[in-house]
Amino acid sequence: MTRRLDVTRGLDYRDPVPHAHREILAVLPEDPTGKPPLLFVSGDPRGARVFTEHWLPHAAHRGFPAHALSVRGQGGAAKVKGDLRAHAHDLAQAAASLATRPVLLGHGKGAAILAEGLARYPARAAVLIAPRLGRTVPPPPAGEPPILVAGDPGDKRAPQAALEKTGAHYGVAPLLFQGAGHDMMLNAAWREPLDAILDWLDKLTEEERA
Amino acid sequence: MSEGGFDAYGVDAAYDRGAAVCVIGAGMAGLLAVKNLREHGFTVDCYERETAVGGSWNWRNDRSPVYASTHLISSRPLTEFPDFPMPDDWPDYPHHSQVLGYLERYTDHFGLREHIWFGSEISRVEPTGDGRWDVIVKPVSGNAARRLRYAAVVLANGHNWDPRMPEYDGMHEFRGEIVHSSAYKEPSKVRGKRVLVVGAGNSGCDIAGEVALNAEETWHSSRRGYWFVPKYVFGKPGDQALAGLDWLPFGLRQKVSEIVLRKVVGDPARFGMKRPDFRLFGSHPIVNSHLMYHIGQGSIKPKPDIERFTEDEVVFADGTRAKPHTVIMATGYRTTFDFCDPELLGMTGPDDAPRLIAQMLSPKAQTLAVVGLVQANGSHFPLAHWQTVALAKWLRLRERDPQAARAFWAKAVPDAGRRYVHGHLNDTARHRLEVSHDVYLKALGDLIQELEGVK
Ligand SMILES: Cc1cc2nc3c(=O)[nH]c(=O)nc-3n(C[C@H](O)[C@H](O)[C@H](O)COP(=O)(O)OP(=O)(O)OC[C@H]3O[C@@H](n4cnc5c(N)ncnc54)[C@H](O)[C@@H]3O)c2cc1C
Repeated sequence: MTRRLDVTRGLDYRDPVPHAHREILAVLPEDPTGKPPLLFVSGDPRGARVFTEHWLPHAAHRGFPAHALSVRGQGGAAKVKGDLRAHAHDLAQAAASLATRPVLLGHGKGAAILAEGLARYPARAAVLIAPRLGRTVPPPPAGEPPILVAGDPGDKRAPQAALEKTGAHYGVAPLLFQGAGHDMMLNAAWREPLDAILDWLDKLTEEERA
Repeated sequence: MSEGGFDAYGVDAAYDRGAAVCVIGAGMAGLLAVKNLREHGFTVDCYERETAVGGSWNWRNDRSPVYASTHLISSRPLTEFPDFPMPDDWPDYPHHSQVLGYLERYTDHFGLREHIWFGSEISRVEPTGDGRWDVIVKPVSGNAARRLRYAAVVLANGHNWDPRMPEYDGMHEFRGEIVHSSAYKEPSKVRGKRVLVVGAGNSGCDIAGEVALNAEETWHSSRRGYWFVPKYVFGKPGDQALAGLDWLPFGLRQKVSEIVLRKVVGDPARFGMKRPDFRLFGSHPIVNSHLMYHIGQGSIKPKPDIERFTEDEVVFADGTRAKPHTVIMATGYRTTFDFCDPELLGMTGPDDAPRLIAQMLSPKAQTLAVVGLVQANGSHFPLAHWQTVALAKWLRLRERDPQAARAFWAKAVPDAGRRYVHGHLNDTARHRLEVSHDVYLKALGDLIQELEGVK
């Protein structure tokens, strides 16, 4: 199933999503490296904080200005309810607020926020990690970003079938990390999947420069 | 049209930029073209005669039409680009300096600056005969012109800079000052003066309100009656409130909107203004909340059309007179393309109005397009965005699938000049650029999907 390109934005015209405070946590490389900024989002109620322990510092260490977002209702963001549209709005707002075009990375239900947000912001690249899209059919992304789907085939919440379905939707083969678990950014084996994702991004950036 | 046309410039062999696309202008529309063409893999060179981006919205530019109190008349969520939101803690109707800040951020966020040549004016665009274009670039200071060759050219030179000045009997004998609204910048110039503002378009009504707060006496002359949409309807920005009726079939939506506006705004005749002689959406409504307020306080005196000028007075169609120091003509702008053959843009009729495919592609050449050449009842930003996306898809289709491109073109050319409006809109030259926001948006969406081969 595909969704048509939505140019008329009916609901956003009649009833725009109101502002709500967002939380953005960041770890930046010591010296600028010219690598694109990263912006992580998850579906976890703790929000940005799930990325601050391992992933943000390691990504920064590898030269990426690393940011994580709490959308409304999560972590240190405004304690207000929001649906997928509001969360995608928060993601697009956060992405547009950075100085240069970021890579967007969504984990778990955050991948659903990302998939929706990609229609509102032309990410430099997008990574859907252990995606839990449920029954939602993602809209066509703006600006045709390179897309990576990654996860643990043994993860009960985003099982192999979900990884393959999401990959098929975007026309890519999922990258599999056996044993990484669902919350791979918090597990003991947090480093391997992140390194693989960052290697993929490094290769993209090299190709862009060439 | 011959090669010889360039001799006058004393420039010889063209520097061939291969498959690159040339974009003229770095205002709202030009920036969109650079970003969206690059996103589709094209190499882009953009030329801007000013030394900065922003076009109309950059009040430092010579030709900028903005005045001190210019704010958006379309509300923020409806104005922003569909893939680069304005900060959601900005007001409903941002100030012109915020709009410029937004365009500057867009430029830097997407790294567009390195593709823009500032202080460079395009003085000529000519077809080479094989589907490509020779472009003459002149530095604004100095005269070392260069000739470059491009695969495609995008005109984003704007249409709010060439003042349209009406002619009235006796105008030249009038000893007061007559200026076009584009030259009106700040209210200190009218402080303590008697001022007549002419024209009931958005600029005219807006400027009349600003003048009224500063001048000794203010008159506002309009030829016809208009529909007014206040900046707020039922506590919501007017465009958002009316968008709430979008689900209704057009005829019913028109009727309901008319009833709402009659209730909320009231009868213009009660304020001494003409009633609109056309249905709502038949011509674009004016977004304004303070005109009637000022009329109600006596700080603006409404007047009908001007009949003639005398040495020191203006005589109106109803025989009344006014004695202004300054007359501000908010009478709009002409559409001018002084650097290319008007025939390329389908400007062949007696009215000089362009007739384009989907109001953006030249019907004479597959690789020439104009973006932002619309006048909409709503924001121009999303329209220009989707125009440039459609343009990128079209240029890509030509490269990728020449056969499909030929089929598209054969179908599109006879359709050039089509209007994207509800029902019947005024077809005078002045209204030729008008589109109904929702109709045109939908047409652009369909066009994009067609060019992508989505069924
Ligand atoms: C007072 C006023 C209020 C408005 N309010 C709204 C609003 O609320 N919402 C809305 O959507 N729209 C509004 N508009 C419409 C506005 O014009 C458009 O939003 C938009 O700014 C037009 O952008 P553009 O890029 O098409 O043209 P411009 O902004 O005019 O940019 C054209 C650029 O091309 C450059 N250029 C021209 N010729 C050449 C050449 N030969 N060589 C090189 N460079 C060249 C110019 O220097 C300029 O920078 C308003 C307009 C006015 C006048």
